[in-house]
Amino acid sequence: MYNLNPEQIVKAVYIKSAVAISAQDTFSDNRIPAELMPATISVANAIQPEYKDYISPASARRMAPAVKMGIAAASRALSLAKISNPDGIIAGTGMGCLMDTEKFLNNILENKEEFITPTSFIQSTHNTVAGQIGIMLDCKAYNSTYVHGSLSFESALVDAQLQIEEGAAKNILVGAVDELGIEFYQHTSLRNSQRKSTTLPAGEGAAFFVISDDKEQAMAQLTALETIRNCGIDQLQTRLHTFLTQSKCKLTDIDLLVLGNNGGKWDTYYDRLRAFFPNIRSINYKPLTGEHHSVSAFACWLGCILLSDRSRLNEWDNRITDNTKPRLILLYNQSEGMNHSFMLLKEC
Amino acid sequence: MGIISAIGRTPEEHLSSLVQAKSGLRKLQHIESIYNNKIPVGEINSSNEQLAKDLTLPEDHNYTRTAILGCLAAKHAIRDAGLLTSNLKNDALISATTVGGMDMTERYFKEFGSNPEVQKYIDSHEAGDSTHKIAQQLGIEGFVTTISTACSSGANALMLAARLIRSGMAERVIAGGTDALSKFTVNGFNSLMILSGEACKPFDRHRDGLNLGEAAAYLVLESETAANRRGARIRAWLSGYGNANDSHHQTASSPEGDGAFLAMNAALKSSGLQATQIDYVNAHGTATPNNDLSESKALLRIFGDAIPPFSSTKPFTGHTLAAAGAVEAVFSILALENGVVLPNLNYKEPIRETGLQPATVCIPNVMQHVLSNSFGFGGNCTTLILSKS
Repeated sequence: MYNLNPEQIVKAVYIKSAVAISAQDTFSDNRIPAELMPATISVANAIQPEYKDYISPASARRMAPAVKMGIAAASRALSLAKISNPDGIIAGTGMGCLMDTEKFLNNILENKEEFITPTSFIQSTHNTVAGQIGIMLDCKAYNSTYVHGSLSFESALVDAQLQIEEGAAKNILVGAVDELGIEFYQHTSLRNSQRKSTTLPAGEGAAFFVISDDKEQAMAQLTALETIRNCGIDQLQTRLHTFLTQSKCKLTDIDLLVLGNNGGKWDTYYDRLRAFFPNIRSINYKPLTGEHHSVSAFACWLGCILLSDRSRLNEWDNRITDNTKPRLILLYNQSEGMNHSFMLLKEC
Repeated sequence: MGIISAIGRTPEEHLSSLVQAKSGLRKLQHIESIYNNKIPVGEINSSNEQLAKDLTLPEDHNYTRTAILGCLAAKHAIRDAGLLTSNLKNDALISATTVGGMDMTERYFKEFGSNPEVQKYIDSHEAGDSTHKIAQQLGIEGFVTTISTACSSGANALMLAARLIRSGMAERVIAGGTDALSKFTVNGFNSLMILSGEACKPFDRHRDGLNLGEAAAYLVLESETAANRRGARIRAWLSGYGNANDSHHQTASSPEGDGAFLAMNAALKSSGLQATQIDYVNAHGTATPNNDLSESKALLRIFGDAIPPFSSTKPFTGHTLAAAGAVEAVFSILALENGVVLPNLNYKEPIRETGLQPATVCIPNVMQHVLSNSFGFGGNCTTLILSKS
């Protein structure tokens, strides 16, 4: 009666649109910008788009960057996919709405818990972005938020993928967003430098996608996705092998790597992975975005752009003279040797 | 299943408090706040130091209270399921929390930049931290993630767990939620003017707000095949789930309870049950004027004139936020196993607009199916249906 383990007819999952807001000008024409600026300063603020096309100026004034970036990226992703009401809204965020969290916390601490107003508390909850998108679209469908550090986006994507595979949904809006805030990132940056976990500035950004069971005009197919909580460097080869086997894919099918190198101590994982693919091009994107919990969503955006537009690879890196369009991209990210993710994106 | 809250540390202790109508609400004690000894809360009556001892943590640990509670409840759930931590390597863990490590962040925020001794709590701030600690304590290396959809988080963790099992992604999932009381949430709800100065009165005409609580609850969900293979005792079935969004307001429920109605409807549909087959509803019932009216209207829309016995158990534990959905799933299972409708304390008069009367005493009732509601800020509404094994 309870049907806990039915035969699953696994459906293919396609990415119909991808939109990123980042420290580069990735939003204005949804392309890889002609000029890329390395994020060498102490913080890599996102280039905030013109919000007036997406949010009324009165609302925008009350919203923190995470909410604005989320709404703008989500709205654009929906319009590029020509979807007005998705069958689900799933967001990821590592640190949530930091700006309002800090504001409310400081309010409590400075005023010794007296004369506290609720606005920043209301806007501080981690599910604010997905909730606000729901209200904006008047979308009463499935709505959830994942808050699992650097795997927040991947967690949201696993849920979205499951929704499509279950046949519960045709189109899901999924993405991730993190904002710098004002104070907290300084503390996390301090910890990062104590542990030598990155040499990059703290960053922020949002990337949203419409994923679908429909291949028509899709940018890419999401072939496989796996997250691994804990993986010793010597287990990496086995884990990769298992992932590829389960994805019915060979090492030699992959023709581009998108890697999360950040200059820190744990880059050894990326070096190890690259060594399994001696003749394959690879891209390190984090020097352009800074490091943050939602940056793997940017990597996914990049993968989608590269798969859907042949000319883009050269613009990304003019040292790459071979402008063959990649057909199958492996994305790999990890955080201090934990929270690993493998993702396979395939041309459509 | 494992649970720790203001009314006990085991499912048995919870059952005994519930049937004896013993509330866990007491004046706030364990956090430094101007509301200390003033507002009633569902607080677990142990200091962090005592609780850390129960978990045998080393002295320099950076476990927040949220993480400690989560580990205690999850470890209990494993024992209750007849499992050892050495069995859990391939299992998945889905945990829910709202404010993550805020209970420590709010103590040391202004010292983070300067005091090396407290900097370890910078790392425990993010919401995924308590989940990692639970995974580590249990030896879980399968799919691990954290959900935060405000007060429906725990229910969504259980829903995802069921979906992972159905899809074949996991055979066994440990799922639930944990949230410790913090100055941040006490002040947050107080500034919204929805904290009651007295013990809360769900579904009463004169209800004047909620009480906060802290808790952790985890359930071991397993596919039928896997459970039978190891001869596990099956306490209940998670037979239906539904998630919908109210898309009305960031903190207020819609007047007709649209999200709640849709979530209950979706849960019924996924279980293949008719509304008439539900024997008891464990309501969200926070005792805020807005929630209880909106939820009552949604109940009327689902059940019409034949509303099954229903109650809110929030007057026992307080509103335990991200843990609530898992706490109340445990309560629903206790109700199923023992054939009792749990009492809704502090109720006197019906809400004028709807006239609904919750069960106020423990009523014996033959039960097959219990429906449990969890609604949150951001319009997040989730319903679970638990059925007798």
